Amino acid sequence: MTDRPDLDERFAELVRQVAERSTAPAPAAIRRRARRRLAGQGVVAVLLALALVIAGLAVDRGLGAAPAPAGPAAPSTSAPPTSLTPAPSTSAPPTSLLRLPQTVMRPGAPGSGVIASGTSPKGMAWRLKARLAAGRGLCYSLQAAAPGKPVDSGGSGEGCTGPEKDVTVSYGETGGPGNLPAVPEVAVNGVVMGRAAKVDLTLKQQPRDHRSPVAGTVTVRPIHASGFQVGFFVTFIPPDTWVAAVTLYDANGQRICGQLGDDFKTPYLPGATHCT
Amino acid sequence: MEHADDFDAFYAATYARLVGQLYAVTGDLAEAEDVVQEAFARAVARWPRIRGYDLPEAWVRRVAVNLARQGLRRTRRRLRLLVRLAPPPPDPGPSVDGLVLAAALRALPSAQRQVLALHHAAGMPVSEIADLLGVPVGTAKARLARGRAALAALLVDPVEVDLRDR
Repeated sequence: MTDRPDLDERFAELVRQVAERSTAPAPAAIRRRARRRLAGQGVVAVLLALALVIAGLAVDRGLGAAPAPAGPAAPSTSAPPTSLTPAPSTSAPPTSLLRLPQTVMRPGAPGSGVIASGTSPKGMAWRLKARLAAGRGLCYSLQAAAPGKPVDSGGSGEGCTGPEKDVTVSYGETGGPGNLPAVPEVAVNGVVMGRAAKVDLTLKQQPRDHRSPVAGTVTVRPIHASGFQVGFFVTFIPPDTWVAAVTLYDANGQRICGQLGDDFKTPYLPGATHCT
Repeated sequence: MEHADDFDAFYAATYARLVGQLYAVTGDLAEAEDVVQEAFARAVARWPRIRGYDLPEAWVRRVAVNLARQGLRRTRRRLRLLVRLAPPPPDPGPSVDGLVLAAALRALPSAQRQVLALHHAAGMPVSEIADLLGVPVGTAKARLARGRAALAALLVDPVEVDLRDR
């Protein structure tokens, strides 16, 4: 019979043996990791702000409102998705998700391009830029100015994804700091890295009452850097459930892979699609 | 500077022990090291506050256990956004007794393994474990009891085997 003292001893011995064989990285490495983590939070903060702006605009314009289906439907991956590029409007502030990068960035030749810019419903001018930075990968920065002020006069924040080679589509997770329960928010983030020319992220909101879902497809084409990396990072905080699908296309418009995540109520999102 | 020295000393004194405890929780050394390193990375960012706690080690362990439970490491590995601090260390290669316990732990449901490891390896009282895992105390006690029973069945003492064989 294994009694409690015996278990205590066995566990203590196991812990001791593992501890003896585990090599701690230098404290400096832990500090570097902490800095990278803070930089990652910067990315999320920047893109969260962008997402809020986009979500606000989408809500304002009532994009994609449709009769309620029985449940979330898988978005088509064969037909060109509807872009969330705003339709002409006389009342909403101007926003543009650029169809093509303004600057083609090449490996080893850092540059930058404007992905999107616009004015928030409250008149805040904003601009999202991306650039490739040696050793830091794809970096995003969001610049925003107070209402009525030119965007150049505003502050900005930047975060980088880090260098990667493979093409990976993953859904991220949400949650508070590690010692706290996950916050009741839903965050969707995706990263696409590798030789992909275009990414479609389809998001469909399914309200809790299963009425009047709002669907929209964002064609994210922030950057085209052949042989290097392409990325997007979208974060939403919807009040209800969201359905999302990510589809990757190559430079010729052929579908590479796609994935549907059909319930984002969970604190973190399962599943990942890996394309090589 | 004093804060930095404090942290370095705290880190050096507690890292290995926490990895050992998290190994018991996760059953995977690489994951244990990853969550412990991530927990320390979070601790160093808040060190001026955490150093004032009675048990800073308990804070780090709590964060590491939460990270392990939430599966953040798995997701983030998929994302490949974090660069590993170092190549994975070789398997610890515990003794025969350690191997038996490690294998038995891996055979248990994760809920039971977590409670067993936190109680026996980290020395946490059941009420604290229940609080950490977000379950009622009765549930934690039940998992502990079931886990012990399951371990008892899995951990057959070699001496007893010898006696039975005779």
